[in-house]
Amino acid sequence: MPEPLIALSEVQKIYRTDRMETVALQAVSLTIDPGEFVSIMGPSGCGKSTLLNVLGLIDKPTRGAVTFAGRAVSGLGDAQLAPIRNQELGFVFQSFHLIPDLRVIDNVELPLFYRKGAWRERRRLALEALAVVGLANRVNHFPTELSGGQQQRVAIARAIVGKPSLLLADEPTGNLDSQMSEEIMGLLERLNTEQGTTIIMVTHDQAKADRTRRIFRLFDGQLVH
Amino acid sequence: MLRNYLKIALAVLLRRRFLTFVNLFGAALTLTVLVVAFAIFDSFVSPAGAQHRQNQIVSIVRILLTGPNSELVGGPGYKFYEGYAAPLETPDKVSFATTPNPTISYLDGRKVTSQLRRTDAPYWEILDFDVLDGRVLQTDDIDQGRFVAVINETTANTYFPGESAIGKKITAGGDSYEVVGVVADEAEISRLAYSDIWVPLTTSQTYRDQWILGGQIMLYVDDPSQRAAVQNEFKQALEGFVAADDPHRFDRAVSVAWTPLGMLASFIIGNMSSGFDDKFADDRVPQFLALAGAITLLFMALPAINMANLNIGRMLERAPEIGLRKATGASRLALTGQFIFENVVLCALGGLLAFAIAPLVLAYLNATLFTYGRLTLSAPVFVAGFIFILIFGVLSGAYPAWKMARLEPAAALRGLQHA
Repeated sequence: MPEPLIALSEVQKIYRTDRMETVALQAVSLTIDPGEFVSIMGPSGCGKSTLLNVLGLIDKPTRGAVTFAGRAVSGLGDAQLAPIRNQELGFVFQSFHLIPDLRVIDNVELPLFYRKGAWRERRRLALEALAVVGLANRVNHFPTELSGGQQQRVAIARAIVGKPSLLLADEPTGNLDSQMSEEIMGLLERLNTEQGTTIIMVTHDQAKADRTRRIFRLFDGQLVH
Repeated sequence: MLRNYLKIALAVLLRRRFLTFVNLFGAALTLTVLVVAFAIFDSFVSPAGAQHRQNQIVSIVRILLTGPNSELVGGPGYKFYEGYAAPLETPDKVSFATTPNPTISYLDGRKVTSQLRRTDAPYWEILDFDVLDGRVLQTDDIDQGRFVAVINETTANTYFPGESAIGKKITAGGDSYEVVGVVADEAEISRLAYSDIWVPLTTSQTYRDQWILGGQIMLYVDDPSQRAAVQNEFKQALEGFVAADDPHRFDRAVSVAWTPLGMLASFIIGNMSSGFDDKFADDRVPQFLALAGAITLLFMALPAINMANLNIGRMLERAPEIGLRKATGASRLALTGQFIFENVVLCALGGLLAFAIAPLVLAYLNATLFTYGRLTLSAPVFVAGFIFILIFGVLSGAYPAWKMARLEPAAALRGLQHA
């Protein structure tokens, strides 16, 4: 049995305000192995994005343990988590989250700014990532000059430029038409099969979830089988 | 990475133009005041022109004589100079001169007020005047009490427009002097050199009689590192002060041979203290610099707080970008650095505006506040300006940067919901 890439054990996430508490995740335990392509499904508000954020180490569980590549990470501080996010994780968001003031190439280079490396090397890796997503001819465009599908491909290039072991995609096709979402799905599948990147994808779309190896279903913050 | 930060910084500035204008206005105004204040300070401490060898000079411009029945304070007189400055061995040159005094003359029926200074010969060796015509005063002029004068360029142009002033007569204080030289104007802020007309000390009948006479003594050393030794020797000389009668009995003299910075420090800190003795403190420079630094920081603090407040208000707008950067591996430290950098860029733009506005303010001050003013944006003023920009940028940017960098990435990506 290979060591899981990421494992959650009895994870609970509660959002607290002055007036109320919202339980977003409750006693969630799961493991994901290296090279897997899994999806998370569930109705709106069931905690899918929260689960993805906990898996992506950008949100901390209220209780429970998170282990990444055999290392307990739920108690780590910002300074320890930043390099893990930078080197091991890549994010793709439904709304792309591209920085509109930067050109495509600069957006893709973003994760590389936070690690050591020469400018030329950064540029080479970014061009390589853009070539993987088929946007090598759009490097000097600004995000607003691209279609939604192209913007999402830029976001994927940004997510993979640092060669992460885990790609987290939060409804990556949610804002795209069927043709473009098919392009993006194909791209994710190729990344998984050809480069061995582990992918966790949140989706509402059963057909797309069916194309992944495993499906985690959430309901009211709990995993259901 | 800095290029990337710079792009973002400029783009953020252009996004909310009114807010940027408010921030720029505050930064430019604050930095203009600081640059102008430093230019005045710098021209006093390191004057250009005849006083450019300032780092080799200490000056005695104020003494306090105390006795059982009276106290007398003022500039040194020739008697004091003869007894306690001229005999000093450490200085390479010692000079006595009066400070400039207004003198009235009439030109074509028009009343003209000029500043008249009486000097000895070493005065012209210690200070390096720019001689435009003729010569400066020499030992013979002083020894023989010749009624000759050196005038500055403005006086020459006023009295003798379009012709050489050399050999002409000029009347000042009821006496007539032959002009032997014309020198460049010296700014009023160059306290040791400034005047309109310079004549031999010996043309006065009474200069030898006074202990206190609004005078100035310059102690000059070839080696600037010897200034402290000169100051010490003068201090020891005063400890051996012998009672003087003028006409009251004085049995104690207090004075300091000051560097310009020491003088400024003593005048400012001393005037905030009570008692004459406080005005003659030996070394108030550290205290003065600490006070000046504190005032500068306080002066920057109010606009900096205002700017910080506006920046915090923009946090919501930038939350998704912050979340994204954190998700891609930016540490708090890196983000704090980025936001401070952005703020320094804004302040640098404000600083550029200040560098554009300050010469206009300095030109106004030169024309109105300081006679023959020559306040300029010199190299030290530029350097100080850049330091002010950096301090102001960090001061106004650090707290918002720290606060923004502390945002939780997931909450920031959601636009701070559940933050």
